[in-house]
Amino acid sequence: MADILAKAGSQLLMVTIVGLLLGSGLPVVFSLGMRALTAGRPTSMEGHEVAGRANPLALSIAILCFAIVVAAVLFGIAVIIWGKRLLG
Amino acid sequence: MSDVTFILATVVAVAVVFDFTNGFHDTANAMATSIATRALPPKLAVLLSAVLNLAGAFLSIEVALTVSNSVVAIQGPDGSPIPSLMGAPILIVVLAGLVGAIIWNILTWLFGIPSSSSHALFGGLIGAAMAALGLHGVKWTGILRSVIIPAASAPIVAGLVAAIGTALTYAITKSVPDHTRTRGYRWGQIGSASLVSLAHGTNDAQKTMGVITLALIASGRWTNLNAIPVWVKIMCALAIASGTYIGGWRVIRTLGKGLVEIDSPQGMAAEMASAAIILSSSHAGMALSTTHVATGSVLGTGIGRKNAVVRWGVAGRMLVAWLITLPAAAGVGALTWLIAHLLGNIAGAIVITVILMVVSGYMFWRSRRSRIDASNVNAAWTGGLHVKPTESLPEAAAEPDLHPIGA
Repeated sequence: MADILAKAGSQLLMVTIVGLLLGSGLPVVFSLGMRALTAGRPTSMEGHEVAGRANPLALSIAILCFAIVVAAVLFGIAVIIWGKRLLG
Repeated sequence: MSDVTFILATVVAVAVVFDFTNGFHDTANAMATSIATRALPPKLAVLLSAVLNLAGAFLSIEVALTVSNSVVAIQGPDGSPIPSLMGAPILIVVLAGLVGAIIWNILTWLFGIPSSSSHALFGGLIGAAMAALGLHGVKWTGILRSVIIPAASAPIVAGLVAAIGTALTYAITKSVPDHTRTRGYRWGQIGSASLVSLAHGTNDAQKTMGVITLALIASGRWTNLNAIPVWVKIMCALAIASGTYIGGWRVIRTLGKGLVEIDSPQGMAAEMASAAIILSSSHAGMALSTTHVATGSVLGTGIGRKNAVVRWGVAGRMLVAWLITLPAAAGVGALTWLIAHLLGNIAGAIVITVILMVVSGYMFWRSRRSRIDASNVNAAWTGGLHVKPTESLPEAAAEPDLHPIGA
């Protein structure tokens, strides 16, 4: 009984840490990308829509952020396919 | 055809039906949020999810004889059936367990409640095994380890992760114009929801494959404990994918519109949380129910956003359904096992399968009275699942979509 609870506790801890890193972290990275993509640009449609062009630096930051999210999703697919072999 | 062959054929057919209900019950887990925020049109969403479930089912490489073995004592340590139960006895237990699981899945679908298909399967098997073998037919510590602890923790962990992701998302993008934001997050939603669908196909189709393989071994038709016959894989993959494509619209409506009024940043936060938790938990060897995780994530995303509409009454009803899923499916499993046992193998198998068909048919007929489908799944939530005829106009028609994703 005690060992079951201890094992479950350590598994849960791992799940929570990965969850916070990737599950909460990736939306944050995506948000930073959205912010970089739109920061400082004029708006149209009474402020509902972004207009103009992003400056090159902001655009590169945004692309980097989105690329990280895409890479993480691809990593997720790799885990689904090769799970045990990939992570031991 | 011998007795055992006949019962085996029945078990295989009923198992495929279970897999189908598993598919349509769980479409919501991946796609409810994307449908609710209109990141994807309803029919395209279920098609995408079905294709990914199909692919996921073929990707599963684990041998899932452990699924039944974790809660009922009908197999030895290596997963093979206990010798004294070989043949008809184990097949009847499995058949009755599947009948209990399917009936509970369809009933909860009728009420539009997302409930765990794995719990229904566990419950059905536990009830049937208890009726057949008594108290020692059940592995009580296995229930604690595989059912109670995961069920209690999944919604909490998922809710926490999704709430934090949602709160940070809104804090960071406060200055982003709202239409631009909605359009951007819709892409994020599609990617994360796809990942959940793929993971679902891998995890859930495997369970039915394991049950069928166990039945084949018990009837002497298969001997390899470490492989699943190819035809079983193909059948299960097709069953879960077609179930997903049919779409459990009632459950989708509750999870996407009923529980929390969702916006696309919340949808992405919810699905990312679900994907991360489902994948990491199955890797850690603690298989959390996709349904419990997805529901927890949606709830968390409502908690994480200021002034979001969270309907705690709906959440309460779900909690009640979750608590009674296992005992209810167990009750049906035990009852159908008794009926089958009293009537004898062949007659028993036929009668409980007919009972399954009649009960399912009745519930399906009842569902037609308040039909939910792709056309009204997103109608405004007015106190319940039911859409009043006057309100059945889909929101898509009622208010134009200002930020279609293709634009």
